[in-house]
Amino acid sequence: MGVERFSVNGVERSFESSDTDSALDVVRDQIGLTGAKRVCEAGACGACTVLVDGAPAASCLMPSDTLGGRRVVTVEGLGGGDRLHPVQRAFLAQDAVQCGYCTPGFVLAGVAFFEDWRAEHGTGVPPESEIRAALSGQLCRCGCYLRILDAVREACAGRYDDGDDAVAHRHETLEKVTGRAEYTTDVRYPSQLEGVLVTSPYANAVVREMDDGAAAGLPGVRAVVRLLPEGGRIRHAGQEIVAVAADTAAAAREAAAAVKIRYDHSPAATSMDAAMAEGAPLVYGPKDRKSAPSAGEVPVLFPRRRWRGNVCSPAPPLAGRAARADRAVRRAFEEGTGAGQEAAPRAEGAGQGGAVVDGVWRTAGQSHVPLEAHACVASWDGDSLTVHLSTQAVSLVAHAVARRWHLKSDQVRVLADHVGGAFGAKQGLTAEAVAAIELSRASGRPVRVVLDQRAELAVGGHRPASRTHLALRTGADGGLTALRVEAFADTGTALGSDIAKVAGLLYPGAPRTLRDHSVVSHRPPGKPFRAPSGPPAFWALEQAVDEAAHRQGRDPLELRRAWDTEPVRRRLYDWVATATPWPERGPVAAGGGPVRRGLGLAAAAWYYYLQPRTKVRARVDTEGVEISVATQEIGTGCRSLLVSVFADGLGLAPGEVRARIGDSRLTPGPLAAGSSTTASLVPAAHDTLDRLRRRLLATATRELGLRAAAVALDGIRHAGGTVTWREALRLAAPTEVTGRRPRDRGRRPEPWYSPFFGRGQGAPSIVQVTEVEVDERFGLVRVVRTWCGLAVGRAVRPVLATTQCHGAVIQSIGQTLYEERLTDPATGLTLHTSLENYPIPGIGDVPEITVDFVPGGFDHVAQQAVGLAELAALATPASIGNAVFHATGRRMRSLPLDPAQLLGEAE
Amino acid sequence: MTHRPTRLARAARLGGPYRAGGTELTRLRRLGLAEGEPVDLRELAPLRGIERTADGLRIGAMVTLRELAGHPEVRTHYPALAQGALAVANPQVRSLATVGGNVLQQTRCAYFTHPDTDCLRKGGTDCPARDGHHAEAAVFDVRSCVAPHSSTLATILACFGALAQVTGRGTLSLDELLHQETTGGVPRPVPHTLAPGELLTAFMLPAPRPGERSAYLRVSRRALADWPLVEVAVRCAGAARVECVRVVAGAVAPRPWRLRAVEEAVLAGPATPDALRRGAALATTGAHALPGTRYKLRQLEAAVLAALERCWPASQEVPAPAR
Ligand SMILES: Cc1cc2nc3c(=O)[nH]c(=O)nc-3n(C[C@H](O)[C@H](O)[C@H](O)COP(=O)(O)OP(=O)(O)OC[C@H]3O[C@@H](n4cnc5c(N)ncnc54)[C@H](O)[C@@H]3O)c2cc1C
Ligand code: SF4
Ligand code: FES
Ligand code: FES
Repeated sequence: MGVERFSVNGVERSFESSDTDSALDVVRDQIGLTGAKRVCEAGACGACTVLVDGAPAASCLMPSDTLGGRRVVTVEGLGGGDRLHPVQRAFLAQDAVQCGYCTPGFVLAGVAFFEDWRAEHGTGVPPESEIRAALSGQLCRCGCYLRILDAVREACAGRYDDGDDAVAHRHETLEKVTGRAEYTTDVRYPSQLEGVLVTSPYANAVVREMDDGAAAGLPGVRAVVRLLPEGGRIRHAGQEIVAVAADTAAAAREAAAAVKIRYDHSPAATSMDAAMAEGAPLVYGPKDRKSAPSAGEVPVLFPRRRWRGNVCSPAPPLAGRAARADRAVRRAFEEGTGAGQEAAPRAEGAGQGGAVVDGVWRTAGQSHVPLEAHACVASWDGDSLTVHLSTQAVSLVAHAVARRWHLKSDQVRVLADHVGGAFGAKQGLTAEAVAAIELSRASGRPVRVVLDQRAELAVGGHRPASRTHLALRTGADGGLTALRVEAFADTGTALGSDIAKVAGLLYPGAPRTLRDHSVVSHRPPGKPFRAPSGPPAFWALEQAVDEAAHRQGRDPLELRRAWDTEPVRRRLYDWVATATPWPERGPVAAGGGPVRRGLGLAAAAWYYYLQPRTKVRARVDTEGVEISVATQEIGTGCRSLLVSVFADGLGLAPGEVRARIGDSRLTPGPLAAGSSTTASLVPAAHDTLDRLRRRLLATATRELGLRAAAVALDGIRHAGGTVTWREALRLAAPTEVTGRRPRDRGRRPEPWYSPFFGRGQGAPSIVQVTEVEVDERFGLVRVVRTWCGLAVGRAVRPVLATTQCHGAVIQSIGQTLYEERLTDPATGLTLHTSLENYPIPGIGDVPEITVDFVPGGFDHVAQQAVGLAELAALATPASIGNAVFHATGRRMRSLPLDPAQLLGEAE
Repeated sequence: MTHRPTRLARAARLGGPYRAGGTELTRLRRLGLAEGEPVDLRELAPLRGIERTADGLRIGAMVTLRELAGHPEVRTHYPALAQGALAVANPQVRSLATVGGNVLQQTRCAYFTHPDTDCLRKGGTDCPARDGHHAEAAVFDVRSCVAPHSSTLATILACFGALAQVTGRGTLSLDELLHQETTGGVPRPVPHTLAPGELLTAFMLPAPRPGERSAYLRVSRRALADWPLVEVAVRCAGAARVECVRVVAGAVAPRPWRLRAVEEAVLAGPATPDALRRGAALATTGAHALPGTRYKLRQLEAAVLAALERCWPASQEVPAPAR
């Protein structure tokens, strides 16, 4: 340790340097400049970037004692005084921010490029390739890259040099581009402790003995709690056993290393194949099966399930419609296509001039890795508990906490001001929260627990890998006569998968048998991930349909038009013919040479979920209107949606409307799941707006003695003129109204696992056309361009909706081309330790993306507002697979499309 | 406390762990694999700078990759080195990472990086990657640890015939710097052969021959800032005829792997597309792929061909790896 001096954001400061700390430890933890984020700690993600003597540097890999005498600039120090840097302004105006966790790093890398560019080229427009290279060290899991490219380019070109600060598309962008936004990982109470988890290196074991006495006695250690008792069962490597809290993270890590645990470990089932093998070790016994968590969006609801070893299946239907369909499907296939075995893909004439397309399709596990890891800061105050949590479900978690610790609902408060990405992985009460709450109770101090990235990759969540046997039968006229889908999901210790069911969403009419199996193994539980079960379903189905078209010598678009009667999607097929290059598509594998281009098409549909009990409150005070609801912003822009409803509806500037969310004490609001936030919030907000206007009408009429007054667009019309909404608000303040989400017209939404979640009528749909380039020499695929046509009623805020779609496409490109969770077969350890070795798409991998919202449909939903965050994740993989087939004439069956598979050298 | 010696002799006496940019050392220390008080090399003048010498170029071990990639002398006379430096990692790593640290870096094998596994490189008795996941593994000399050497610059420097200056050991070839065998004749699973107290001070590059060209080609899955699956450096001279050629491959062996069979096949022959193709077909001579790395053999052959074609372009432009 030594005291050294450096300049940070223009101020000379002293800091404690040590030979173990990184520059990030100094800047973020010692000085409190939390705009610099800690994510991979391996130089791979760029979230910790700071400028050192003008050059971007990975502060997580920079030793703290090399900072002495240097000039450091963090995102907090950009711009001058109250003025933002042009790059920051460009980020506001170009909607270049989703969850915002990567934003400080991108802004700094953008500023470094901007300054170099300006020095050499003035306000010339930089070529895209140079911007991509300059930003190549920044990763964005939300997939905001295209917006960021636009922002940096436009800033360099001088578009944001002067003028007022640009108007942001999102409510919270200003906080995010300046590093002021406080995420859970940034929360710091004065006496806060750091908590660390001790996890199991074994996949299948029993904890025999624990000795945590030595750890508890180490200096700085304030609490040690056991998350699993002696005799407790370990079902996957990385399972949490003990938690330790100490004054500093280093002391807590040291204490964690001092905890001695003796295990009885046994052989583990570390893959789906191993778990299905004869004599495989069982993950659950008959008694503890109920404890398995859910890997799907909803709890596991098999009415009748049957276990065989580690495979959990629905019992086959005995009677009724499903049984009749089963028989019809069996007849259509005339037995023996063997969907149960590894049937080699084939297509053969099966009588009556039709054909069977039958094959096995695989997808690898995909980790969520939101840039902000699972994180919790818990603080007890007597019997009340405040929990800052990186979550997509403040209300739901507050209920779960109250239940688990036997608290009344007003004793628990869950807060999530900003959430650095979630994608489905942050819906429940997970280990980091349990540990923080217990440690805080034991120590009497606030405690922060943040998963390190190795833990995030191991246990933070993943989309289960899958194997889907799909067979479709066509009749003599080329129509679809039967569909059989049997899907096995590699769910780890969790249960639940709907791949086959989802594959049945398209092409209504033909009889179908859809069976979903969960295969449990000694690996961390799968979790819902953006459109759970969707991508594997359409990866199989839409390539099989493409294959059927190819066999019939028909245009895949025409075949879909013939098979698919759903009016919403038929409009999308028309869109393909007019808005994409599909009509000019040539024959399969036409190009010569090693680098080939291809065009692929895929369709997909999803459920329309909503949370019918959503309410929104509006409070009018002297400063304007405050909207509040217990929901949370994970990068979708829901604050902005709320603000825009009221700003537009009352003729106010967005600055006059404040949105308060991220607090479980507020009016009950939606969790961010199933693309249901928009569909829940927007209609509820409009209802609140209507009530508020009526309230304003009543007060204004009374106070001003208006005659013949009525609500109009611009205010209150009355016999003597118009009272603007702004005036009416002033008259009414203070007042408060609460609106609720109106029911959809027509048939009621089916309640879906709880009264809080419903599934409405109609199927939001997408049709996607993608162009790829395949390099046959190296087995590499690059996505060049993609066109997405979406039928989602009405896109409420098209700019934000488009940014969301970019994200879904880009995450999906990751799934299709790069991402594959690897488990060591011998030990069951998840091999990835950080974004250094878990490859998500970077800025160089992002194609041009065109998003069109094809209007119409969903007239039964107020505002025609249905969600779309998941749609573009559904069709991307199959559209790429079909494009690769078009380019090469070869059909890829496994995700990701790695070079081994492309080169025909897979193991 | 970090030591900051200002004289080589003192630095040598301190014995390490040496710290250049520290990007790799920080990782190793987090893994508990480089204990002790770091010896920072920043104040050692002989390790700095790039200079022209009587017989070539001297590149100090402490030169950052950012400096190396931008240096006019390097860009003009050793283009493959400048290209390679620019392909390593990303801007915010390149501004910290040094040439010496790059060449002496440890493996990136995921088993090595995982704290809950044991393996040959961590003093264990076997290599779990061999029977486990090893898609990034080597395809040459996989008798011991199957991880390839991870240094891009080592591959390119070897191609230029660079010599390392090491205190107390004089001048070493890249092979001598990085490769050592056990008594059983198997490569020792270590990143380099330097003992504590031995400091790498600089690399000496011979002056380019008249008409010399060079090319660096990297195959990686993601377009930018990804690790290579296969990389190839070629240095050559001659127009219609191959007057001299050296081909070194990276990410395929425990050390930079010279493809002598290719060199011999094309040397002194005509630089026609056919001849280059026949030469490149020998790129995998002596290779021994593991089940998960057979694809690398195809990539290697294609990458060697593409690199040779870049040195001797036929009529049309050769496409770079798709990205
Ligand atoms: C995201 C990312 C991507 C990367 N991609 C690539 C890539 O594609 N190709 C590639 O080659 N590398 C890659 N790297 C590795 C990177 O180049 C190295 O981390 C870096 O070059 C190490 O340099 P350093 O100066 O920071 O080394 P340090 O961390 O300071 O040192 C590294 C090792 O060398 C020793 N050492 C350093 N200098 C000397 C000396 N003069 N004498 C004796 N011993 C010394 C140290 O003791 C230590 O053991 C990547 C790294 C990251 C983080
Ligand atoms: S390849 Fe080498 S580093 Fe990797 S596990 Fe085997 S011995 Fe260890
Ligand atoms: S945290 Fe430093 S690069 Fe990821
Ligand atoms: S906006 Fe980039 S990670 Fe969320």
